[in-house]
Amino acid sequence: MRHFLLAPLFAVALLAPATAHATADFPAKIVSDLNITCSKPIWDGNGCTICHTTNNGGIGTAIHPFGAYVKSQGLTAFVEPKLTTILQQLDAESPHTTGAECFGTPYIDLLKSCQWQTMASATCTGTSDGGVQPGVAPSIYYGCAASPSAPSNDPAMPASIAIAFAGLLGFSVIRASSRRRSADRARRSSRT
Amino acid sequence: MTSWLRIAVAAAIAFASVFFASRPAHAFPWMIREGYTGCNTCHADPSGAGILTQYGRGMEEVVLRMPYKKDADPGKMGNFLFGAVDLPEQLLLQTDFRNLFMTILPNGGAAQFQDILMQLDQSAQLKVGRFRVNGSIGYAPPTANINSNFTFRGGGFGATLTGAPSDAGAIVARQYWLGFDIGKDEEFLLRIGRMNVPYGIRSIEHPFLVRSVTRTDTNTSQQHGLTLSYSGEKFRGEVMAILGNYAIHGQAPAGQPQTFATYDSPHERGASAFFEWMPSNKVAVGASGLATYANLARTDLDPSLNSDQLGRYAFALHGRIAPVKSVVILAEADALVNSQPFTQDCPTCQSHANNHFGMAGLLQVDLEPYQGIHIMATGEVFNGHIHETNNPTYDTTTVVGWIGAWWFFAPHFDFRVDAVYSSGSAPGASPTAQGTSLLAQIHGYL
Repeated sequence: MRHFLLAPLFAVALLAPATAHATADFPAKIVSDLNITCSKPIWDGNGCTICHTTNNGGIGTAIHPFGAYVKSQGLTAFVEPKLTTILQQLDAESPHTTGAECFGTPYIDLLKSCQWQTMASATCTGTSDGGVQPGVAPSIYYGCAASPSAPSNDPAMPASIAIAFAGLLGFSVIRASSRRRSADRARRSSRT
Repeated sequence: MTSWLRIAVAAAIAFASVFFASRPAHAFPWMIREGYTGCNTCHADPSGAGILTQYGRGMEEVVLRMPYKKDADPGKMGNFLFGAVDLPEQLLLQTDFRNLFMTILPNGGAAQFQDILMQLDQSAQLKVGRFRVNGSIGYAPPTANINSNFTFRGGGFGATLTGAPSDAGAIVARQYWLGFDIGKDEEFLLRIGRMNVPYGIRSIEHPFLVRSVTRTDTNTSQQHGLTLSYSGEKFRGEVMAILGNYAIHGQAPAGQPQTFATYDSPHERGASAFFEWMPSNKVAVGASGLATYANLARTDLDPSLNSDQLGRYAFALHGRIAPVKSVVILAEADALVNSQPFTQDCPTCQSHANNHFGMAGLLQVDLEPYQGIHIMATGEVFNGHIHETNNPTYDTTTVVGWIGAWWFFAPHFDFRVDAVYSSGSAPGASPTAQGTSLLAQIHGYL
C-alpha cells in the first residue's frame, strides 16, 4: 500500500518539471526584443543590475531607477509579454523621453546603445544638480533599519529584540522564583 | 538541579534557540473533521498557525500523520527532537525546514524553475505563569542563478529583520510577541508584538487570492500591533490594533533627506478583527473586517497603485464544515476596497481617484481517503473594477484552480504536490500565480 502511494507522488514531483524547456530571462529578452547587436549588450553578464541591486536579482531588490519604472508599469516576475509591451511603449514615444530626466538619456536609447552600465546606478545621474530625480516618491525597502543615503544591511532589530527578550525572560524568571519562595514559605508556615 | 537553575537553563535554551537558529507553517483549518473547531489547543497562536503545543504534537501523531500501527497513545515520537529531550512544560521549541521546487509556465512566456528554501526557522515559546514570550527567527538565503532558467532563492524576505536582501541573504522573523493570558481558564490572550493579522480562514496556502490581495497570509503579512483574542467552546475571535509592519520602511529618493515621515510612510495603521461561531463541532461560520491607512501604498506588492496614500478595507464571510469525517469544505468570500486620493491625470488634467473595488472568493474541498493522505481541490476567483490614474478604467477577472495531494508520511514530515492554473494576475496577488505552476514541497520539523 505504501509503495503504491509513493510511486505516483514521486513521479509527479520528478516528471512535472521536465515539461519545460526554456528560460524567463529579462536581460536576454530586452536584447532580443530590441534587436541589440553590439558585442556585449549585457556587459560582462551584469545585466540584472540595471534593475536590481545585485546581479542575482531577487524579491525586493529591483529598486534602481529603471527597475522602479518597469514595476510602476506593472511588470512582475516572469511575465515576459509585459516586458515586451513596456519596451514597445518606450520605443513608440516620439520623441523618446522617459528616463531622460534621470540619466540624461531616455531609458530606451540607453538600452539600445548598450549603455546598460549607466543604468545600473542606484540613483539618477543625469540631472544638473548631481543626481536628484525631482518629484519621485519614497521607495519601499525591506528591513527596519534606514540610512539617509542608502539601504542599510545592519541587523539593528535583532539587538533590540534580544534586549526585549532578555528583559522579559529575566523578569519572568525572577517573578517565578519569587512566587516559588513565597509558596515554600507558606507551606512551611502551614506545617508549623 | 534546583528549580531556579532549571528555569534559568530553560530560558537560556529558549533564548539561544531564538537567536541561533521561525515560524512553522502549520495552519490546518480542515482539522474541524476531527472535531477541533478552535486552534489554541494545538497552536500557541490562539488563532492558529505557528509553533505547536505539546498537545498539538500529540495530535499530529495520533490523527494527522499516516498510522503504521494502531495506537491511541502518541508516545514521545512527536515531541521535540523526536522525544530525545524532555522539555519543561513551560517551554515550546520547534525547528522547521520547508523546501519548494516550482516549475512556472507563465501565460505566453517561457518556463522557469525555482527552488525556494521557504522556511528555515526556529520558534520558541516560554510561558511562566500567565506571561508568554513567543518568537521565531530564521534565515533566508540569497538568490542564486544556478543557470539561465533555474534559480535558487530564500523565502520570507517580506519579514526580514535585516536590510534589503543582500548577497548574504537575510534574517527573517515572522512573529515575535509578548502575551498575557487572562480569565479563569485563560480563555483570553492579550499580545503585543509582530503577529498574524486576524482575518478570514487561516490556511497555510499563502498565495491564495483571499489571503494575498487582503495581505493577511501567514508567510510575510504579519503586522506589529496589539491583539486580544478569545477562545471559547462556541465562539472564538481576535481583534488587532495594527500599528504597522516594521519589516519594511520608506526611503527618501536620492539626494533628499531621510525623515521619520518618510521612514514611516508605508506603515499601515488601523484594525482588523474576526470572529467565528461553532454551532457544532463540525461546523464553523465567521466574519472578518480590516481597515488600514498608510501614507505610502505598497507599490512593490501592487504596481497598479500610485505611490500615494492608501486606505485598504476588506470584509469577509467564511465557513468550515465537515459533512463526513473524510470531507471538509472551506469557503470564504471577500469584499475589497483600495482607495487613493484624487489626482490630476495630465495633459487632460482630469481629476479622479485611483480606486480598486473587488470581490474575492475561495472554495476548497479537502478529502482524506486514508489518514495522512489529503487530496485537495480549490477554486478561487477575483473580480475587480480598477480605476487607475494613468490608465483607463477596466474590469479584471482572475480564476485560479488548484489540485493537490498532501502526504503526512512520517513523524514530523510531510510531502505535498500541487498543480495551479491562474487565468490572470489579480492586482496585489502573488506574481508567480499567473499561468501554470507545478509545485513539489517537503516539510520537516523537530
